[in-house]
Amino acid sequence: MELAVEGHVNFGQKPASALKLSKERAERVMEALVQQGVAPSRLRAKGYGYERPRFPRKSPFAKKNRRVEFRVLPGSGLFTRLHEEAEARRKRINSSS
Amino acid sequence: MLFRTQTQAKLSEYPPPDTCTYTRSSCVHCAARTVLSPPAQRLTRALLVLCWCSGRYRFKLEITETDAEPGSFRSSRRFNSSRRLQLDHLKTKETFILPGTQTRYFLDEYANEPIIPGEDFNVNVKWRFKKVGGQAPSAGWIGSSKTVEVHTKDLEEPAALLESRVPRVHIQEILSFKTNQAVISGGAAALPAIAHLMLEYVLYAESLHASASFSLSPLPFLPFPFVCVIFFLFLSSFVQAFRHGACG
Repeated sequence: MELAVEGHVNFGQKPASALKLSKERAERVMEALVQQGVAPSRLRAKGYGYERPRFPRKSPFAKKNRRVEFRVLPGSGLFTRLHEEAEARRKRINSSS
Repeated sequence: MLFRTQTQAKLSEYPPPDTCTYTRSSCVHCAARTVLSPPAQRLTRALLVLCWCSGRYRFKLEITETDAEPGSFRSSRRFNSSRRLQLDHLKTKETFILPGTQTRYFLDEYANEPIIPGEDFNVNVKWRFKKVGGQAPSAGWIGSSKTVEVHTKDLEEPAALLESRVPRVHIQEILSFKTNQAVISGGAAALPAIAHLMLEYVLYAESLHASASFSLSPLPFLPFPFVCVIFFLFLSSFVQAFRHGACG
């Protein structure tokens, strides 16, 4: 399993600095995971700035956009298995009437 | 109003996974029940069953009964309609238009992202009928169920692998940072759990690499005359070397 470590920032910065800061956050988390024993080759750090906010700008939860998320990368056997299982489950239920 | 229908569903908190057996209005295993409360004089009714049996963080919607449309022919009663499932989540909406013949919908994603633990949803089902012979009621979504509030189960462990079409690792406490800094200020307790997950699924990393064949590779891409020339040059050089060696 390979994991994408995705860094995000809150609104209110210039796009370039937001991308840089989100990348640094992702790399910081990646370093912490490597210290826990995870091979660096299985992690990919990427910064998204505020392209993908989880909460709207004026939301009281907007500070929670300052975060890091983890996504299983396509291409691994685990991703393929989970993806196929989910597709089969959706087809089985949605096609039965 | 002939088509006003009220439906209410209540969900159990910790349902058993995988198996689900429906009766006409409820799920036996997860005890998802529908409460039908139309006045007796109403001609139409609909039931909406929300079921958690398919998993902890996804659920299955099933409409077990729908209205009969007055004013239209009986042949068009069998779901010659389209149905809309409408979700409210953080003041945003997502709508699914489904064919009228479909009575079930499997919901495990919202805005192309998997539904995560601890989320709140409002689910509402609307439907309409195909106009037949000019006798159907006015156009639009004329049938509607009552809005049902749904709360997905909260995550118990620090980190877990969410199984969906877009699998990802979800952490119980959000990993937060100090303002304008790359310094972790909260949620660091989830990092050992994520590392444990990564080590647990280490075998799946091997399938990333392509397979290699160690058998003798054929030469179908080399034309036969070219192979003959190479062989002839090799043979002649060998003979030349042998002659020089024999003479010298």
